[in-house]
Amino acid sequence: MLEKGKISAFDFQVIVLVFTIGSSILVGPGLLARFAKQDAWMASSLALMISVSFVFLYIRLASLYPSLTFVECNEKILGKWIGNMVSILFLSYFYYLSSGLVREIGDFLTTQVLVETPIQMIMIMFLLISLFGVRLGLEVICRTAVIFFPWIVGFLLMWFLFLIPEIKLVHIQPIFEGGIVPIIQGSYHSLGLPFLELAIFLMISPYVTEKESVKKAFYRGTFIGGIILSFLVTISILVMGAEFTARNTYPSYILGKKISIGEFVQRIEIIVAIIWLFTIYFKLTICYYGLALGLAQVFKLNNYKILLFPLAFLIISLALFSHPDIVHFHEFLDHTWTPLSLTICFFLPLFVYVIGVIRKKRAIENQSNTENI
Amino acid sequence: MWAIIGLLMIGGVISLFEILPLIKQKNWREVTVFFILLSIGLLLNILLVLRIEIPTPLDLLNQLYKPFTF
Amino acid sequence: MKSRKPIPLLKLRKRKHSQPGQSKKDQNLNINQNEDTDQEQAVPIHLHRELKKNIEYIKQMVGNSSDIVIREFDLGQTGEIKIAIFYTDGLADKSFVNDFILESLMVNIRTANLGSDVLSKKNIYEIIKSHSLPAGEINELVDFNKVFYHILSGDTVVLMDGFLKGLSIGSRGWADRGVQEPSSQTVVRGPKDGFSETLRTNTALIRRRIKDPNLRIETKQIGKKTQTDVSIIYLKDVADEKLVQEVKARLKKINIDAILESGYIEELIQDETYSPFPTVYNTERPDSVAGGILEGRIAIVVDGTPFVLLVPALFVHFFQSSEDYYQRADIATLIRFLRYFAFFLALITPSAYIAVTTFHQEMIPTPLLISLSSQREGVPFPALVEALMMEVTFEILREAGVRMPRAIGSSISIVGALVIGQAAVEAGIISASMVIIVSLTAISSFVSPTFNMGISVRILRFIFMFLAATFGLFGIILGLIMMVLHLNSLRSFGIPYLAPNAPFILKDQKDNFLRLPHWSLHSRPALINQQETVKENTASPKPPQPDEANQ
Repeated sequence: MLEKGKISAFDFQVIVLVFTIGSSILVGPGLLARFAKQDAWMASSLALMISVSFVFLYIRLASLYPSLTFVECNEKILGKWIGNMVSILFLSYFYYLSSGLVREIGDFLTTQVLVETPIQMIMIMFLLISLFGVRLGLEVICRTAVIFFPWIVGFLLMWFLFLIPEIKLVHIQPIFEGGIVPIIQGSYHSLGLPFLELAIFLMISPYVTEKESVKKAFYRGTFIGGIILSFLVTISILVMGAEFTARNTYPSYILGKKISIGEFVQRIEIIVAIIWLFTIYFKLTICYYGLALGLAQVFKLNNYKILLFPLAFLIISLALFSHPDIVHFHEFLDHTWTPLSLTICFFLPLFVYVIGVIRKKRAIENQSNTENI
Repeated sequence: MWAIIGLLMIGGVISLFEILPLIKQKNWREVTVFFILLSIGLLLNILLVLRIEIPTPLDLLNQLYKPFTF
Repeated sequence: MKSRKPIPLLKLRKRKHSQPGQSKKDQNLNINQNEDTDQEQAVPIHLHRELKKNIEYIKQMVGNSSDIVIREFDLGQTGEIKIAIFYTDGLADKSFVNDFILESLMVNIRTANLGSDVLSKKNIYEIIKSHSLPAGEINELVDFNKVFYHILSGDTVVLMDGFLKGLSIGSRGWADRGVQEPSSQTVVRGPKDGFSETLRTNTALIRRRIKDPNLRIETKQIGKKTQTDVSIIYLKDVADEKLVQEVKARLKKINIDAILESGYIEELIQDETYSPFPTVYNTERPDSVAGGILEGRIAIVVDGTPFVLLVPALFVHFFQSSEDYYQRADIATLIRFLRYFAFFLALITPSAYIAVTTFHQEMIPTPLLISLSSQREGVPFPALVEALMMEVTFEILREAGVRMPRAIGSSISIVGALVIGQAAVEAGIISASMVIIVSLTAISSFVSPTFNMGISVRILRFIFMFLAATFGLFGIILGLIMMVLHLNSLRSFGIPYLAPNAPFILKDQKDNFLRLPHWSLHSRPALINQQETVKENTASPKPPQPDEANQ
């Protein structure tokens, strides 16, 4: 097997949670507020409800062949050629996602924090650290997430607490101003960010030791992560209002600037940046890991680690040329990302699952037929 | 120019590190995949360094998914 | 001749054979010694039948070394039995050799009422072995390798004419520093005895604390030239059998000419060499070794050094002091948190200062920013250079403080305080806030109860400073992620280095960051220990109920 490490269900839950929060914590509120205005919090909760069905699909698919990754499943169910085509399609989605995350880091840091540093340097640095993690293997990545998890939670709590005095209930009124349509619209567009991306865990679930508790861990991780996101959207709207949230590229970062307790605790938006850096790091690393592992399985290599450096070059270049500017990036995120994600991360696995179930049933029937004869 | 040489050198050093043990073990499949991916990656990066515009594949996706966005 | 009375600094080693309680351990020890030497030295040179040739061979091998004493004499009524004893002056307890070996062989055997038919050339060996040596530890020798090993480690060797074998008598007793207070890990409350340079004293200090027949002390010699005794000590029913085998296997692989300190062993058996973090724990304190053994860990005692190794060593162990268990639980817990906080401060403070002053001025509250920038006004260097200068100066001072003769110690502190503290600020080379940062870092790095964790922080601090100077807080975050990734990739004897935290083990949290009261520490650490995990069953203490008290 390519990956020798084993992770526990708890590790899995933490990494799912961190993955769910990652990147959406910064971009999510703006996206939702653009569509659903002050009802964004409802849209976000609705998206969470819907996304449970995705997780259900992933779990069913994973339990079809519990010891195989999605790429291996594809080959087993669809045969060599079609299976590998499906796998390549799936992996190219995560190739783009990795580069998109790198791009997000670069854009955020060069516009908000390190204004004078060239974007390439930041991207290369971040990708290198991610590469270091992927090289050390899944076990190390997950355990590192477990170590940073209390910090992330602690910072989040601190941040929420500090924001409580700034809340103005006027901002979410009137409720249902535009009727139900904007809410559905908003939740539709937030499905791709982040819930459909969870499909990458199809590459990781075979390596969890406690097969029984994987399901629970998957649900729980997604659910808690989703609740944190909804909470975040709600607080953004409550503090800044829908208009302001929608207009900003990074509303939650701006939110940090609002904090002022006494004369001393102020301008702690860097806390948001830290949470975001930690979570997006794990999101990128998991995507990068899944990509390398999947590619190695498609090409039948016996080591995924040699693919890391070539992939790093590919990811960096795609991150640089895929979007000419940040407007293009957000346009893509707002309009194309969710339908794209639905195709690759919902319909594709669904297709594989249905075929898989039919094949398995047939195999059983054949077996019983031969036994009868 | 220097950037290209630098890029190629980084690529060379990395392949030296990664490939030599593989060649010793005669894992030709790994070597081939590594070199194909690395050369595509390096090519793209060199194009970027030379500021040659690469058409982004995402515009195609944008066109493709236009009907599904609302 | 050395006096037997204990002298404060120089003390004769206690002879072990007179104490019945220790004999079992000694037998154990000797059996293992024999096995191991057999395995190691493949080509034994056997003893010769003629005594003269044996003596010649020994003389030829040791040359003119003046400390090897060879005493030849005759035995029996007519003196027809030739016999010789060998020992090393200074290593053997001279009074023991004179009073018990020489006297019994030369005098008592003559006065004993033995007929000439009993004492003959044929059975002299058996008689000496079983009747006339009042010593506890006797070994039979057949080849020269062992003869030299015993002579050179302080035992007395008796060779007789006409026999292919000889006897060695345990007579080790050399000048020893004695049991003193450990200098590197001091405590306020807790035992004050520390290990010394002699292996036997050290094992006795451990045995004194754990009076359990399952405590195993297994010794072998490592080092082709030094033949250093290395003992592994563990509790048989507590330590994981696989772990014991692993330690033994790793020790067996060592092929080196000299072991002068346990640091050699540490570097030869650790899991990962290229890491700033220690994966083997060392201590001078018998109580913390005993505590480790009771947790199921394995101690490695090396002759010639007071530093005893404990494996496996996890990250959290370096933040636990044995005093934590002697103090009240609440205080111990708080102090543990303080240590982690100090570790973090020592790691991050200078780099955070650099990052905040260079990249993120907006994070500092305005009044503080004004005062900081007014301090830095006259300073000609960027923050990184300033910090580097100060940190390097401090490291130099610290190194000088360790190595220099005690007498000049005060002058260093004067130079340090004046030059670094005041003059540099007044001269406008560095800012006053930088001095505060560096001192804070310095003090924090001394909080760690083990010295080697302090060293790893020293190295990492500089890496973090460079990261902060290039990428600000982003760089620090990346550095932290990298550090934790690396820590997670480490293993100490197969056990994940960050063990009770990642992988997270709820059961072991009672003695991790927290130190719960002793009555709640029911089980031994889960990963280290696979058998007999239940430690105690004391109920929590309760005051007598008022109605019971009245009755």
